[in-house]
Amino acid sequence: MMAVIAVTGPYLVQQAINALSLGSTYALLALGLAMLFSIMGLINFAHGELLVIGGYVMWALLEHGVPWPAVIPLTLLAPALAAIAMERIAFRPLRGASLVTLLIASFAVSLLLQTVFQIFAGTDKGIELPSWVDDVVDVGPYTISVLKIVMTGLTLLTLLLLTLFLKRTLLGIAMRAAAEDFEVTRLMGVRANAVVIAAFALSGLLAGLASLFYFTQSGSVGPFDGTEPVVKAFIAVVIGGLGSLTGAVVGGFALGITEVVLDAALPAGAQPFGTAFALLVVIAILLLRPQGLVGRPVGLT
Amino acid sequence: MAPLLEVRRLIARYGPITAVREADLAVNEGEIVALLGANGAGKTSTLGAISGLVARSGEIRLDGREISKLRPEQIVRRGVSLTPEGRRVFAGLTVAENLAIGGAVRRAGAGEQRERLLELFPVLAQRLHAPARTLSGGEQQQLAIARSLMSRPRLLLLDEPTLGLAPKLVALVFELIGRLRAEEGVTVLLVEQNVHRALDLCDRAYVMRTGRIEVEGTPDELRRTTRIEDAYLGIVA
Amino acid sequence: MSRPWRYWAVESAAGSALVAAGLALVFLYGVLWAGGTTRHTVLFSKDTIVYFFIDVVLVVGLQIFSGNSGILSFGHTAFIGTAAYAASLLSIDVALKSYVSPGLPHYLETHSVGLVPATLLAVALVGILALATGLVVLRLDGASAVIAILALLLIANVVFGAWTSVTRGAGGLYGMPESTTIGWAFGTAVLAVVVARVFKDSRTGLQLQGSREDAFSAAAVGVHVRAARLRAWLLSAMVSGAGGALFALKLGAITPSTFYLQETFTIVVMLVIGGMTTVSGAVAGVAVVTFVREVVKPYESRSLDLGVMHVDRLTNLTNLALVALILAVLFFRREGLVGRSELDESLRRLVRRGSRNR
Repeated sequence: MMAVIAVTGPYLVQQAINALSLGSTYALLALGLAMLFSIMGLINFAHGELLVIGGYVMWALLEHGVPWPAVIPLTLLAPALAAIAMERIAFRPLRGASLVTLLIASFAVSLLLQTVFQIFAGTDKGIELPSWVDDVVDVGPYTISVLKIVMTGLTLLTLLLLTLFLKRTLLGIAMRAAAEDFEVTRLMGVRANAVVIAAFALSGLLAGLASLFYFTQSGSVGPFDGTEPVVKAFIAVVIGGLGSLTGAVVGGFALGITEVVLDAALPAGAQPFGTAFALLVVIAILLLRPQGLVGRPVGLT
Repeated sequence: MAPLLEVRRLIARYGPITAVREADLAVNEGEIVALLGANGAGKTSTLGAISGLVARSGEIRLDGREISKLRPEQIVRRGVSLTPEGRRVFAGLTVAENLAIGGAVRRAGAGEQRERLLELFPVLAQRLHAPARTLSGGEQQQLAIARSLMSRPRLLLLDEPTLGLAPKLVALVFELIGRLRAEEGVTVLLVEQNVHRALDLCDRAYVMRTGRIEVEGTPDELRRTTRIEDAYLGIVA
Repeated sequence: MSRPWRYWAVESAAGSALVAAGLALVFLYGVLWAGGTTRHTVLFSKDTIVYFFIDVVLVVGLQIFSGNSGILSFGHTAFIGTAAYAASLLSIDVALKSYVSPGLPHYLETHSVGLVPATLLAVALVGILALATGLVVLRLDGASAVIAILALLLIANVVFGAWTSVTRGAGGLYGMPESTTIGWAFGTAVLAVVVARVFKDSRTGLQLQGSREDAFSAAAVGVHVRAARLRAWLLSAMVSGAGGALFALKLGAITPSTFYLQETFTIVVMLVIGGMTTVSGAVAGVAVVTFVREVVKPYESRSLDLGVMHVDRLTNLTNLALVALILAVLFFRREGLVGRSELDESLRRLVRRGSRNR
């Protein structure tokens, strides 16, 4: 019995860490998306490009020898600024438009940014990773990647800070109010623009944090790297429950766990189909619980 | 003395539909004015237009200054607060958070205002940290009104505050409105379906039908004429 | 004076004559003036015209479902790709086939068919898949439906890439004969337009449009929303599938990435720019985008000197043009270039108004 645990134990722990760290990245991205969706009904496909902007900023700074302690805050800041610009230029003129219109607009912004990336930074750029990225730590019989622990820890810390912000600060409360009822929030005298800009900035900040994790793991940045993460984040938001920030986090972790579990559990022949199975699980979740894992059952419409 | 609120030739539109056609009304400081009429008469739209939520044209003056071109957030800052129809409290936020949002516009002294309101609405003090969705209809109505009062408005617009409430709560709400005027000096423009009680409480009233003001006068004058029934097409509370 | 109900289909088909005439003009241009595969002195090559007609089939296919139901489908490329792969496997020369796809069932390996049977079989396959997926996915509403449909695209993409014994994975299929002539492409495009128009004016189509505006009320008056959506989904997938088959048998080689997000975006953009609610809009969208692309393409190999920085190649400049078009439509004419009424309906109204003023 003990032998079984000794053998499977480390494996399970490693997989658990894998699931948590993958889930963390998804949760951060999903949260960024959910923030904009809950407040203004915008599904921002260009969120993936915010991620890539973070990556390019990282690359550019490291190329010029900027030390890591400076790289980190700038990588968080750049996507936030880009997001604010996005709001001002592309989305403010469409304030109040239908979901479909906003979705298509975000698609257009995404394509625009991807093309710009292609033109100015066509090939994939390699990122110089600091030496501690590959470090592993031996905890008893377990070997765990330091990076993944740091990622998971930072994500949880971010979630905590975000929760405090949303519950304790007036701006945070205003954002939650706007997510429920934008019109009445304006009736309270809260400036609509302030809330929207704050939402975009936060969404960009979260994308920046996600990009720190994402690109230190992958090691390179390409113009199209944002597409797959944003699709996954989109899915995570929906399975968590649209319009719910907690749901986005839950959905992100759920997706991460599902992927890791399937990856580990599927027989070798079915491995390449792993994502397809995960997607089937997603569809199943939607069918059984259309309001998402965390959402409240919706009425007749 | 000039009225606190003066509305002239107000037109309110929802796209191609005109909900209010050339309405004139005035509210003097310290008054409780009722806006009556059947469903669809344009009462809610009138309040919405004054608050800036509905596309409008015409003159709307608060303290003699034009507010008809301002955005809702700006109008609140000028001292007009709307408690919308159906209460529309923030269901996922706690009572305290709802009040906090109400006071976002007037941060200075918000603490004292909150204390005063919690005295006026003791049930809110008891449920201070409960999510608003767990409150009963009557409690939510009180929360909605309290939330509007957090910004210490000079003019309070109330849209059907007794809608869907049990008779005992209806009485409570009307009593509350009276106290607000007496103790807080709030001027009130009240939209109501409950004609009888509204006439008991108000100083003056307007009756609307299909977007126009049909009748105006004091409660006594209105009770004497039969045009209220006409305006309501036979339905009188 | 009212017409008997059964003439509506004829009237509807006649309505599409205007658009069909436009397509015929393009066809004539393609046959008479356009140069071979590259540009001559005239603007468009024959190949461009063929792909134009194929795009018409694809976008009109999407319009059948999304335009009438109001649910924007990001999953149609899954059907397009499936049909493309099916048609390819059916039509690749037998001699080549075993090199290309070692895992095929024996019958497929030893036979290959021409354009028409390949297309019809591919369409039939897509029909079955559409029925199966539609029964599952169309139970959902709103954003959940969009996600589930998108998930279908992602699943298809994974399958195309992973089922290597049949699809040859990332390498893709090649060796398809280029049997899609300009004639076939034109014919299919006209057929697609007529089918889409007749469906739009049919009872199911009208019911769907009602549900698009207000699903709850539509259901309240007895519209079987789910059944109507399923019918549209099925027809739409099959038309799109036909386009996919033609596409594969023109391009000659396909990979999984041919049928993923870039292609999805292009089709959606074409539909939105022209106008989602009308068939004329779908065709107009394809025309405008194709035109803009052709005009912009030669500038892609140019370089740009912005003083501060120098750009070697303006890659994918056409994408920027598309983005500009899309944003222009969203900001200024959200219903799309054609708007809410079919071109022939607007024309009829203009004529009526003109004759009244006389």
